[in-house]
Amino acid sequence: MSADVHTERGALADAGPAAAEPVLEVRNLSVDYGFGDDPTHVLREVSLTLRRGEVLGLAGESGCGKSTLAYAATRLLPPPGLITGGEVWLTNREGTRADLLALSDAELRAARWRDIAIVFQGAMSSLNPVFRIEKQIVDGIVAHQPRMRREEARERAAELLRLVGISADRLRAYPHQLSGGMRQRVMIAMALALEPQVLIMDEPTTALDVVMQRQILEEVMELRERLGFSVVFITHDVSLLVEVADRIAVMYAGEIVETAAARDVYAKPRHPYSAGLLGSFPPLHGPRRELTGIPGAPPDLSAREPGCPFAPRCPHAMDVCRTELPVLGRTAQGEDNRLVACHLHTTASSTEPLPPSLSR
Amino acid sequence: MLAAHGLTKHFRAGQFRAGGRRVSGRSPARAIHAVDGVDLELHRGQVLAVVGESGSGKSTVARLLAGLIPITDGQVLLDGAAVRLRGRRAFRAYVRRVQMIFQDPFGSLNPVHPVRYTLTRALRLHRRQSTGGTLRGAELEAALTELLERVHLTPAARYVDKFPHELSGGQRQRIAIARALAADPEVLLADEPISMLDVSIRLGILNLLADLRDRLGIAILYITHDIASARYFADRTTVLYAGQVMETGDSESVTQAPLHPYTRLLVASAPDPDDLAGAGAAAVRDRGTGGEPPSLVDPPPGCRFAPRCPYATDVCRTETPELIEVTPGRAAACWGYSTREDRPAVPATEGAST
Repeated sequence: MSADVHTERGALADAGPAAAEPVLEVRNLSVDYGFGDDPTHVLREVSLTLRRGEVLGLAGESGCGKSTLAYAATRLLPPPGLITGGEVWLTNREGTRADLLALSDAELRAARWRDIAIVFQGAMSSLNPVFRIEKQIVDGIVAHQPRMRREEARERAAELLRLVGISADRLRAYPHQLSGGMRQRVMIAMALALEPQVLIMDEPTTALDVVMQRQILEEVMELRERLGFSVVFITHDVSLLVEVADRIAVMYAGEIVETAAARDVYAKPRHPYSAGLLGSFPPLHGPRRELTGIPGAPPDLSAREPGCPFAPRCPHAMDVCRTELPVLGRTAQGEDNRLVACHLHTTASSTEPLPPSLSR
Repeated sequence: MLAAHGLTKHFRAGQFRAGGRRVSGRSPARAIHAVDGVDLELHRGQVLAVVGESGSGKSTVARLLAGLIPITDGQVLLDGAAVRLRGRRAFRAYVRRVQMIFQDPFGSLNPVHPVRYTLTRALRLHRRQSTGGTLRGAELEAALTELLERVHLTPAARYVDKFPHELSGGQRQRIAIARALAADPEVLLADEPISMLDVSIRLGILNLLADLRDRLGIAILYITHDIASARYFADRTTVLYAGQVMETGDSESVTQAPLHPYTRLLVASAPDPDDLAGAGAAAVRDRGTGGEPPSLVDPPPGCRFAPRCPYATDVCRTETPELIEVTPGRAAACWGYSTREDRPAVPATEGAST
């Protein structure tokens, strides 16, 4: 792809992950679906920190709240989704921190795209089919930078397309004239138009073939290094996350059950669900072994039982798991930079050690 | 068991019917070569995986084998006899032996009927009472219970009166499998049976299918885009690209030592957490195999992968390679394995082994 793009803020890349101050901090975010007396609690007090230049992976099955978390944090959640509590602190380029959930509509509108941008799950269908690509990108830029002339915006649009490896003459194309992979790239280009601090990618490659997925991921990772933004990468494909993410947060039933460096999650999962999820992907290399997946089915969030939501499927469930909800805490091994929400880790002792699958 | 020779399906393009009159485009009818000369063999008690990207024709292959769409050219053989599906009787006799499982268990079960209806209907259609006549009464009930137990939905009584919306995705897919088993088929055609399911329950379904293969000796065609699951589940794997077979062989060698440049690209692109150095990613990047599958509307001669292939030469662009047996049981449709003078130089190994 072309590498001849100069962005004014390319210098940000120098800050890199080493600087590691938080860009996006989600604190105790709770979301309900449905109003009235009996709402479904889909997110329960979720906290998450995204550092500058970092790729944070959100892993979990469908229905575990990954997308809800992303949409709630950007206030894009459509009714009947309702944010019932929490804060989302975003540090913008000037270093000011603001709670996205407390911003006025005008401030929020300004912050979107400029500070935080999303590539949606159905990115292939989120382009407007009746407008040319050019208009869709230019409109967005002009809306945020009213003083920019359309000519300049058009040049910027061409530059953006080149950035994601599409030749600029495709600007005049309508979405249906582009393949799925190209539409996805256009979406990524649009998200990067105002050089956001945070890029949220919600299953960006799920509808694509592996070869295309690989190409697009390579591009995003390269752009991240060049432009220095942070990425929240949402996918159910843990084996993909292990490769692309710096840190992974594993979600289950609307809660984060484990966070750790990507390598550690893969090599040494500490939560039985993480271990089970990793065992659900047959390896392409290495020894062939019998895998079991996870027995049972994800829980119905509208009928929550007390205790750990994973307990009915957990091979190591104890009595306490069925009555008390575990909270995120240190692992039994006392490792730094990783948290797990599992009673096994709080009750583990020399007499009752962790099961071998969790103590590698 | 079930075999296909030179299976070909062309869809017509550029023609639309409006009010009974054909509103054809400027040009004469064009053909989309969805599947072109595909050979397959399914054996009793074995799983054959067909791996390919979307648009490679893998689902069309399944639908052709199931007799759901007419074949343009080629032959399907069941136990050596050519299959003819003229008329309802012949179709039903065929379907009794060859059953299909669809991708989407949310769409393939009728939402207004409970499990009992879905399964008893299939049972009554395909099975006879031991004394002759339609299956009914206690015998029907016993067959129903046995079906549910076979797909590990126990106790059966808990599931028979449920409606599809009351079941999880995995349970629904099990019901769909049970329905296919009602006919006591010899061949199961599974078109992406797990891609719509939650990741944690996918392996459960694959293990169930593997169990059916081992216990009942059913031949299974497993259509998938996930080459890692093909390696896990299938005995043999056939790689499809743009409607043509690129490579075929036992799953282990196809994934561990792929011959065809396309298979190598596919294997290198698959996510691999053990790939610490990002070798796969680098391989994809460096070889410049970017681009997309070709248009299948009247494709030009030559290898369909040639435009993206780093080793392509003029031969590849002008002549279509046949499947060439490289080692016993393994074949690749690539000129690099021919004995021609002007063959392209395809290195012996790379990609997966790096």
